[in-house]
Amino acid sequence: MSTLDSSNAGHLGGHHAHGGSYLTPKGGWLTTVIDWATTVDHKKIGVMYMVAVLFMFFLGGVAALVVRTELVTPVRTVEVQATDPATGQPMVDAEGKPVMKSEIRGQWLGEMKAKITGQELTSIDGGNNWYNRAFTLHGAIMVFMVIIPSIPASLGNFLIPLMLGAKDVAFPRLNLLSWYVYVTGSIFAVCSIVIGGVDTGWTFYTPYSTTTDAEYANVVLMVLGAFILGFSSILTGLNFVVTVHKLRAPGMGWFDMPLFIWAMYSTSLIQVLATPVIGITLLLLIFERMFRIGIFDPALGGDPVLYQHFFWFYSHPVVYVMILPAFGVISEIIPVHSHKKIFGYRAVAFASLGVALVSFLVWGHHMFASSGELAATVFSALTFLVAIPTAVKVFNWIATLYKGSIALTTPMWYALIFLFLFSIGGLTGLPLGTLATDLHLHDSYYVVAHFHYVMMGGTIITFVGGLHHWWPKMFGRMYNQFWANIGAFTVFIGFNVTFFTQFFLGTQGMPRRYASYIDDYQIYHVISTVGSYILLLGFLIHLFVFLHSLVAGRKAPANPWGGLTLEWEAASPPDEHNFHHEPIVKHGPYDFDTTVPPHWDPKDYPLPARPKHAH
Amino acid sequence: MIEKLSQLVSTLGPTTLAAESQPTYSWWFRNWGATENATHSDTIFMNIWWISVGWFVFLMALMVYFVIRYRRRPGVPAPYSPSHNTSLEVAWTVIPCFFLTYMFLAGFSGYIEKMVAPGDAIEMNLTAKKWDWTLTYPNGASSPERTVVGAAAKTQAGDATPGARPIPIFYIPGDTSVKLKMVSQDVMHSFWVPDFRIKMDIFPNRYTTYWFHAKGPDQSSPVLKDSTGKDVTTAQGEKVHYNDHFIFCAEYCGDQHSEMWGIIRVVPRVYYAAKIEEWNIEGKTPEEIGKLVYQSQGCVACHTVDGSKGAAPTWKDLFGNTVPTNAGPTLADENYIRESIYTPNAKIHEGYPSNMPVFTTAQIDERRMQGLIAYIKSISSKAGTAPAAAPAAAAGQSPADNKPADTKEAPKK
Amino acid sequence: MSTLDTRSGIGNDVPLWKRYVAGHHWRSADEEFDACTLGFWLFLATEVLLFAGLFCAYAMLRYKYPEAFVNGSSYLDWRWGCVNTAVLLLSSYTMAASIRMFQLDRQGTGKLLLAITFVCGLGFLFVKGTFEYMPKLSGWFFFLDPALPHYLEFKNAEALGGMLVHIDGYGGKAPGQFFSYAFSSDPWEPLWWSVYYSATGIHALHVVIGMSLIAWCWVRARKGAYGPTHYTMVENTGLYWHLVDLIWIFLFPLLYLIH
Repeated sequence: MSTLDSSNAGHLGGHHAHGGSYLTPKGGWLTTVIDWATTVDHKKIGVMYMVAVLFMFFLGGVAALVVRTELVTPVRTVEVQATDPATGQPMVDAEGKPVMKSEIRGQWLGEMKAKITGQELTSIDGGNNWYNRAFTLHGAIMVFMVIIPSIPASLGNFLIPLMLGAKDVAFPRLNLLSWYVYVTGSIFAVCSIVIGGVDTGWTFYTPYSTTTDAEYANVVLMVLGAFILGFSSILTGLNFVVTVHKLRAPGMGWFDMPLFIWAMYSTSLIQVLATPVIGITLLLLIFERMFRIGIFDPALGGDPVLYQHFFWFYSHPVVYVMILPAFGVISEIIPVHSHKKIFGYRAVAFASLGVALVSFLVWGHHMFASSGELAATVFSALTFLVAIPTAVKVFNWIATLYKGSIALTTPMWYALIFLFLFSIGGLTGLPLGTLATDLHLHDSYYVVAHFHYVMMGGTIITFVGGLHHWWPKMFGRMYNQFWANIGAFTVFIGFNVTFFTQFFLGTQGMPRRYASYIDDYQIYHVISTVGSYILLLGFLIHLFVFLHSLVAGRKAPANPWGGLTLEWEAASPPDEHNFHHEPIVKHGPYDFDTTVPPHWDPKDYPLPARPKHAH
Repeated sequence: MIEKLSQLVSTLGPTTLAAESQPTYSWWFRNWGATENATHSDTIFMNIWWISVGWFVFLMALMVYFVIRYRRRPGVPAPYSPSHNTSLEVAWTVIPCFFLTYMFLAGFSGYIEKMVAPGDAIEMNLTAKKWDWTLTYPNGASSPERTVVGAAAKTQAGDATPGARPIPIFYIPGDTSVKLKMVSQDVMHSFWVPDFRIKMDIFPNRYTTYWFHAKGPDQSSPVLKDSTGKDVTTAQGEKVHYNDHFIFCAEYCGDQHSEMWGIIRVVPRVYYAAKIEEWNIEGKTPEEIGKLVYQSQGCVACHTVDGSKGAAPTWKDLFGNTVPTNAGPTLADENYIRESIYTPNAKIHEGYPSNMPVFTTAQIDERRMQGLIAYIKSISSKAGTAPAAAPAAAAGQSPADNKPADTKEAPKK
Repeated sequence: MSTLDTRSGIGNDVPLWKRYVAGHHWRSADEEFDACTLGFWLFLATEVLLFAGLFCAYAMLRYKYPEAFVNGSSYLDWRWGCVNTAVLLLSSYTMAASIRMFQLDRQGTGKLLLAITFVCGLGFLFVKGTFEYMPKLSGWFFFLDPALPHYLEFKNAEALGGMLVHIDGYGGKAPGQFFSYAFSSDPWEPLWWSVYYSATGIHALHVVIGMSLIAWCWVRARKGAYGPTHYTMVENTGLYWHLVDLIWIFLFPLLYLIH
């Protein structure tokens, strides 16, 4: 019954005689750089995405820390001295004491304005401007440039062809184009930050976004960046859908596919079907800013609520673009590390499609405080529908643990952390779907806490967990599991300290996007900020673990965890063309009770004895 | 902060919804029961919360138990177990549906309560603009009272200090249904009174409504004091109790979004009636009307009346003098003032940005406009001067008028 | 997504399409063709959804300001709309016929039909720019415009060089805040023009993209790249062109005919 085919991996972990691993340099450094920049190899593109996403994650993280640091005190924590517009020198008052930006709201503002003759200030800098820019930066980068492409574009690109037993994605050159489009969009966004940043919030709500900083191009640049990133998302999604349809290995039916593929397939469908709507929305927003066409501008007869509908028609499904791949990763990690067939394969697979379908019907729950009663009621009912497939998935994962053989490796720890955090994230969403309570919690810190539990506790945690799971496959090196586990615990503790406190802030009345707040909230903000620095520490530990692994990690075997999906049949790291010959699928992706994993070597990883009934 | 921490610890634990003994400060909510709808909404929240805690503890307990019980031990095989069980899967799909149905229905009932105002509600108009609120009472009056709260008040005492942003206080009758008709003058805002557990977005060019029935102050509520610290009394000589509730803007609206606050001060009906009569413009001289408009429409936030500098030109000695504008020097007469209020961008005073909000005739009607003009006239030394004589008068401006501003600036140079 | 293997051993007298080799990750050229077509249909779905946003904006604003839309629409000449519809329908036919010709290896006819399609696209843009956008924006008309009755009401039309006529007060129908048409009877008419220019402008951009693809096909076809066994690029360009046509079929009645 075993399909063990060791020739597919060459020498375990080593380079095969012809071709060699995809990481083998082709020549000098210049040749190598050109080779990577022009590659159509899905594995290299996946790694390039990973590097780009991690860099943007760093930028967005810095912005998050800036925001958290500012919120330590109820007034400005980081005081910036105002500049005297006449002299360009720092501003002082009559006694020679410095005048802070936060103070220039009454008298000093007048002083400053009096000195700027013939020059209009489009927005009054009352000292919150930079804070507003910091949280916008954090939101826009984390949503558009980190979470949306994180798992789909990096792990997805690397793994989909390998898991399907294909040599590449359907359209390799389009794939490279997607990466360049992604980088172009990111460059636009970074340019927008460099020339002054954007203070609209990542949602770009009109009419604020169409009027703020009217003389400057930064908002247009940022919106254009998001528009371009949308193309990258569409092209990647399209590529994956066709790949799944057309490039499955012989013998792999739809229900023989790993669940990660199912999740990515659902994700890609959403990307293809939702992103065009944000495309036209952002395009009209740009027209609105540049030509004042008025479709979203109430002063010209337009409707800002129409913008919200358009925006959330994309941005709600995109929440599932963020979380579905995470479901996929968890559906891989849990069976492999507990050597147990996933419970209810079809339920999990159909739940992915179900979530994707329902995700298109619930956008209105972002607008309970602005839409009519009938719409709100319908959207509330539909919102509760989405809870069902999600809950089913969680039950299935926990049922998979039952009577397994659970190894507490770093990826498994991350899967357990995910179950903990995502359950909180999901359950705290219930009062938000409930109309009566949402009118209180909408746009408060409760929402902030909720979506961080889902987006970060769900997607980012899983992305890091997935990196630990496939790191040996991607780079052919093991990492220090002890320190990786320390990092995982630090992240777990830091995350909860940071975000659980924010639930209380929200119910007590702290609105989101506030730089100042009433004194009673301070204690919660201080705890939250301490937590954010613990999070930083956790991610730094991971960074060092990965760097150490690249430099000095021991060689990874082809199948370090004993997985059954096809990527573990390839070498670690895989050869240039993935497999020496096309793999033929003879067992399901999770048939641990009947199959010995490929390349199984007791020295690498001791397996439990096979159950008696297996034959 | 330590005391706050110990206070938090003392209220740690499940907050009960037992009537009467509700804490005013708990982990989850501040100020229980400010309105009946709020209490209902909190009940729904706490019910969902305990349902969620039940599910969460159940799932996590299973997870932890499985991880410990079935941890990998070398040489020990994983026991066989099926990977599919239809009845179990149907059960865990159907059972959550009951809970979800309860949540939807409870939420819907609370929502209708929050959205549909009773027919006898007093209707008031609320206008939002960057970054201030204006409430107009049924008799056309607006509240001119403002205060400074929070850390800003502590570090920068008094509204004369730079940086302290005075927020408006709206007097609302207790035990009375009040319905606000809300509209914005610029971008979107959202009116949120956390104690009432409801918020509603405010749009330009479109009305939205917000209603509440605030519990009136009782004997345990604080007593209202005037600026000298004496207790305020009604005409009958009774002390006035009040409850304050914060208003926050909950829809991001720019630089000072986080300072766009207000206070709803719930007072007994008699005191409310006396207060809005005091601010009523009926039976007042134009100058008094102008002063009320100046305070209640937010002019006070930028324009000073004592000659000191603000975010906008001072009104002291404005009338009758020639002001430098981007359309050349202009005589500040009645027409200039009128134009500057209804169409502020027509002429921009040199040295000031064009960020004066546009007012409509609905907000400042003819009577109020004339009141404002009369008020501005009354604080100008040129008030009696005929427009034709103004240029000559401007040249011979008396140095005494400018003195306060001069003395303020002198030490800086 | 096709790759042309010019290094294959067959001599140069063999047409390019016979020398086509599918990408290395495909099992056969047929599978590659299927995948490309599937991918392209998905891409077309995204295009439809892009325009769906515009149609939603149209519906919402029309519902809000019906008079403004009727009023604005009366300035559009349905006859020019008809001409453009006919031009696009013709071009769709020639495009489809061209694909058939390549499938039958009738290279010359195929290339000719491609060229006709391209010219039709040009014609569409010419009509749009000359007879639709220009008079509305500037008040300048070509006199061959089969004038609407109300054009003639403007008595002070001046002729300039015979062909070009300027009608005072006719132009100024720019979108949004640039709207300066003095005789507008509806305050929300600028919104109609915003929708009109956004929808037709983005459609025109798609026409340009389609024409670029057709031009590229023509260049490749001259080198003999398409034939009975390999015509993916022409096929997909054709699909794209039909979509552009289809969107116009929806835009035309919505903008020109509904009153």
